[in-house]
Amino acid sequence: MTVDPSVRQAVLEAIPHLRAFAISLSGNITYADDLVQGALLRGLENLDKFQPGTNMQAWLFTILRNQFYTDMRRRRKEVEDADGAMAERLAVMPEQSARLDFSDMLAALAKLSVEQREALVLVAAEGVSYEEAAQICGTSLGTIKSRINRARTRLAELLDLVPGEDIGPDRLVRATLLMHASV
Amino acid sequence: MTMPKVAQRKLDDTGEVPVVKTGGPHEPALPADVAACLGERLRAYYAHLMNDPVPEHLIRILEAMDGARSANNDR
Repeated sequence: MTVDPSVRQAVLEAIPHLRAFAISLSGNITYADDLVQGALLRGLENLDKFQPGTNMQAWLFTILRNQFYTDMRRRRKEVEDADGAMAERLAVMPEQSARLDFSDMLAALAKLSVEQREALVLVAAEGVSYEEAAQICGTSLGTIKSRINRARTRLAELLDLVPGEDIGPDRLVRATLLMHASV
Repeated sequence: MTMPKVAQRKLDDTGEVPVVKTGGPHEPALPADVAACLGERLRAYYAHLMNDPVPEHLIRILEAMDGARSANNDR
């Protein structure tokens, strides 16, 4: 099989991005590399379906994400307590990724719903546009914005950047007033 | 235990909390400095992941598709 050098280059450049996305999505480096490998193989098999001039990276992201969801659905069928199993799998993640030294962020991301996690990582970390993220995630622009917004709020709580539960000027002012009142 | 220092400092400094409006009226919103801090941490985290060396076998997938031409062209 011969591949256009520019296409080859685009695929090559996409690999670190695909890995970072897959690790963020799954919380498991070994599985993430399997996902990347699968996406690369599937992408190369289906190169004829790739439209030249469009974004190779986004195309591969979509393939990888679809595989992740397929795996997740299969796992749900296999395991009765699907959410429990997922949480358990993600819970072992910080240890596995200790060498990556960002286990606090990985652990916090793992506590988000997968929909929020993928949206936030794509836009806030990977830097794709809202439109592109909506396309990759197969949803609407409004949904993506809403997911990212909720994800940001939750992540800020999880990372202790804001007081838990309620965020907003009203609550903060009220909390401060209460604090002063009790002194 | 960490105190909610960001929000506390804002209140002390200016008496008000600037808010980033990213969603509709019913969406929760973060104070601007918290949002900025969160963005920075996410990008640093992601850059860190991107710098992790790509496993050889992933690169080899591409070399395999090039056939003999670059099969031994490891670098």
